[in-house]
Amino acid sequence: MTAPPTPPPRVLRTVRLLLVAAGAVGLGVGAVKLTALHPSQLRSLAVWLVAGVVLHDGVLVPLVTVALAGGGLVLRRLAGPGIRGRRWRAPRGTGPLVTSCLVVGGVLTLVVLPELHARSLGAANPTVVPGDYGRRLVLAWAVLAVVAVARTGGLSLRDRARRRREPPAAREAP
Amino acid sequence: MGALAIHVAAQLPTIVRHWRRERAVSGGQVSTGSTTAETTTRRGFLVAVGAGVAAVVLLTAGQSFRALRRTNLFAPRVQGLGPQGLPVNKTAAAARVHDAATDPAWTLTVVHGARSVALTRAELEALPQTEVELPIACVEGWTTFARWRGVRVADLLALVDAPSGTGARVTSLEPSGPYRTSDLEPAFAHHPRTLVALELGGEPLDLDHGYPARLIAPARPGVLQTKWLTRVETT
Repeated sequence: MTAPPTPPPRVLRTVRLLLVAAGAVGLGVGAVKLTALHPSQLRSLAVWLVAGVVLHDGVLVPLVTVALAGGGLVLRRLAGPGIRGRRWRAPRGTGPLVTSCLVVGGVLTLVVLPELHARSLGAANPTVVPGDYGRRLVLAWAVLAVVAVARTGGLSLRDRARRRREPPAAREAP
Repeated sequence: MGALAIHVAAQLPTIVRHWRRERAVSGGQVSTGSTTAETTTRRGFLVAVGAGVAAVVLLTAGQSFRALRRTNLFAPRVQGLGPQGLPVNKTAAAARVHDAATDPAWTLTVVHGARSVALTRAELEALPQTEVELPIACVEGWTTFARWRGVRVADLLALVDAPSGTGARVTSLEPSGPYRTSDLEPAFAHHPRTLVALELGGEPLDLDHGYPARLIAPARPGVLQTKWLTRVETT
């Protein structure tokens, strides 16, 4: 198998130029449209843009980093020295499973938090944010936890059965 | 969008290199997802993101799509919830129109240049009525279809001899607010499905839906379907 040929630099340069041109036109149109906004709308826009970055980098990223690092630490310790003498090796596939559950729960939480805030301020009329969102969110997290635990248990049983079938030597050399 | 396009342009050589290398590596040998960092494989990432998107769609899209209304746990609106089965954004109380809208002396004034007529609700009801099935499609993200009945704006404009090329501006009883008036381009103003609605779902409009008369037209965001009309003038 030979390495695929690199694209001719001319093609690459043309594509880049076209992208930059399209981007510049987009930015220009956006800038012109901005001038049509009311000063108060411009202020809200600035707050919205800055708050998005601050919330993402200042709150969301540290939370996710700490959660992932903490989870990884616990799993590694369990698999190695164990916690209080108890050892447990997470079956293959646990990582993506737990990540998926956390992502689903996290996204639903992000949807619900503004609704809880709106309800605490008092809805403008009874057709706005009518649901009991807090209780439903707790329920959703509970369902996710049950799914994660049940599926991990299933994977764990499967791994154990496989280990029993295979001779120990085969396991050591994957 | 513009910034994104420029960003891709700046990173294009890196992107191309990445995909070329990937193909060169996987060309001869079997290449499955990495086993060391299980949580960050491409497949794991796509599954997690896909599951998140699917969950949000399943649990919120019911505010606009009838088929998913039973699983609508987290959307800010509920299909069919509201007076006459339709959600409300701004109530009559919030718009401070209650007294003006319930005044028996209310009339709708239609103006074209020096010509003008003032029509009571009874006079509007006596004009030819049209029934349409049109949605309130709010930019907040919810949409609900409803059956409206009322007088064509085109018929009202004909009463004051407005030619077919004219647009129209409708004005609400609302004393203030950015959506107190809205403009109809000529094509909208003379469209056969553009109505001054008097009824919703076979009943007189609820006060919160714009009684005594509101605008309903195809292909307009909800906030421009002006409620509690007092005036229609050509532009």
